[in-house]
Amino acid sequence: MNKLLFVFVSFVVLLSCKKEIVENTFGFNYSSTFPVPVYNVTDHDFSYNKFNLGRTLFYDPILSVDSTISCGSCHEQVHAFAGHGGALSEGVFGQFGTRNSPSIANAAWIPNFMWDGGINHIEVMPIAPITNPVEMHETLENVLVKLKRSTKYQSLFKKAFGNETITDQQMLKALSTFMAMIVSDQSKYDKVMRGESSFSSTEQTGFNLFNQKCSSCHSGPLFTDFDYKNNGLDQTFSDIGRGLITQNPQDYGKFKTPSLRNVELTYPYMHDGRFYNLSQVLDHYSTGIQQSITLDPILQNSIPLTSSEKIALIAFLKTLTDYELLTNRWLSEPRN
Amino acid sequence: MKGFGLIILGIFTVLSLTFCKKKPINTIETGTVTLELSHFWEDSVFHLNENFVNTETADTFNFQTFNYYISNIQLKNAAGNWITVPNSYYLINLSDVSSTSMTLKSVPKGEYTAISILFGIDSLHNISGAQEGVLSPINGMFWSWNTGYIMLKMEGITPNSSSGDFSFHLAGFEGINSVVHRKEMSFNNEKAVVSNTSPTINLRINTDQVWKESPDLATVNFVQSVGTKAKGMALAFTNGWTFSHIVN
Repeated sequence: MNKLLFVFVSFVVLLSCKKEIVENTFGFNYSSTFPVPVYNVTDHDFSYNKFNLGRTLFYDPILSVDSTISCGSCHEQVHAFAGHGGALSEGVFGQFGTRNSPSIANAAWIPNFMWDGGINHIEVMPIAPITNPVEMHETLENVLVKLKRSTKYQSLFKKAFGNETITDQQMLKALSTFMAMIVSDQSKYDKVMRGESSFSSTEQTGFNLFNQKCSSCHSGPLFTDFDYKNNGLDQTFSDIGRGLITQNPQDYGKFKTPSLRNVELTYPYMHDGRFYNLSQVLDHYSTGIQQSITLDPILQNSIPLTSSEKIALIAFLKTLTDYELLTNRWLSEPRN
Repeated sequence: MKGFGLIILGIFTVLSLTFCKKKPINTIETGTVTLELSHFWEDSVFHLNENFVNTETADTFNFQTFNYYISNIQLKNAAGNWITVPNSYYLINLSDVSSTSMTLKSVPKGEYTAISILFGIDSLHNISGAQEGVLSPINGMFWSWNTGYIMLKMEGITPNSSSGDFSFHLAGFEGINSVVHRKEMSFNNEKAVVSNTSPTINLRINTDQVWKESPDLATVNFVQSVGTKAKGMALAFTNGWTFSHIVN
């Protein structure tokens, strides 16, 4: 979150100066330990005004059919931009979908979105929740009608794109500019990796165990291989997951490996939110693996863990919580 | 005075460079080509909201929607080389007659002997995020849940399916699930002459061909995912396209 802090400091220092100076200092930066992002916002005419428009849209229920639900309703900052507690998130008219709303932190590094990886680009990702009948149940046409009627958005779009038009492409690019700025790279783990902090002995034990038993899938600085795996939740599949996208029986029951960053706060877990705490998750991998034809080979014999190993692993997983992300005012709902 | 002379020299140098710059090098003169698409069912002119019978299955179709994309149009010149028409992306929507006639722009002047059409949208535009114009998702030809453009969307009513309707969204652009095909059509002995006048290439589309490889509607009246069914129907659609004639 270096860049956002920098902007914040700049604002304070330059409070009396012209706004343009502040906007010029705005930029997209990330930890030196991170790979190059999939969505490099600097390649997409990144600007403070696009970020600001995207942020306003993200928190505005105008995107839903009855103006009750915003992106932020199911991707809450206090939960690291994941759903808030319920196994499944509530859409318009009290409807529920079939999957848990995941964290969108570090979206700029995600090659394919959704639990089944069906969406291949951050810019077209918001179309799914906006138009899904059990989420926002709105049409892009009608969203544009509403935005064009609003003097606030007329002004925000003009600032962001420099002309009087308001198009779906502009709206989607602004939303993705905001989402790409939700970078989580200031956890204790990150600070340890950069030599700015150190693990407790339990955390260190957990880190060592993690590297032995978990990191083949939850790999790299983003703690995911972005691949699709059947992690042994069920013997038969009520949701075929990746199979819906590829129609390949070998993909039935597979879901995207989720990042574990901020995992302490992104409960409940799994694609359907069936586990409410990390102990249940570790119990599943240790003793709960269900056999099925597409079960990942690595999990054929489960991942046996003693109770003290589980305690150490959970201690390590909690070092992935990024408190700066949770309190970063630049990512929070704008106060009008 | 020496300084003044230098300034004058400088101004002339800048002016002459500016003028030189403006002269384009290797100008290719271009013209336009009109593409006219005529849709048929067997030997009848094809319309929405009219009954048509599939002679193989005896199913009756009444289409309410028949939309498709063609793109990346190429023309074969006299030297036998394919010229790609820049930015050639078209959404044909049979509820809007004007969409069946399109003007291909920036076509180099010359004589052409064949046309090549990509049915659907190239993979680059399927993986590059939010697009605009005919490629905007607002046009209803884009899958939000499994990213990609629908190549052909057909919806309507029928007495032959249990639900009384049918809906076929043929999509998929990757690997074995791709419904995107390219087809070349020779102008036989005719030529499209692009000069100061604009030729009209007339193509005939037999929409009944889409159903030649399909089971009856009682068995399948709904396809909205990738796979062999969508692929087969997409290929059958392209089989229904033939060159008709050219008006120069």
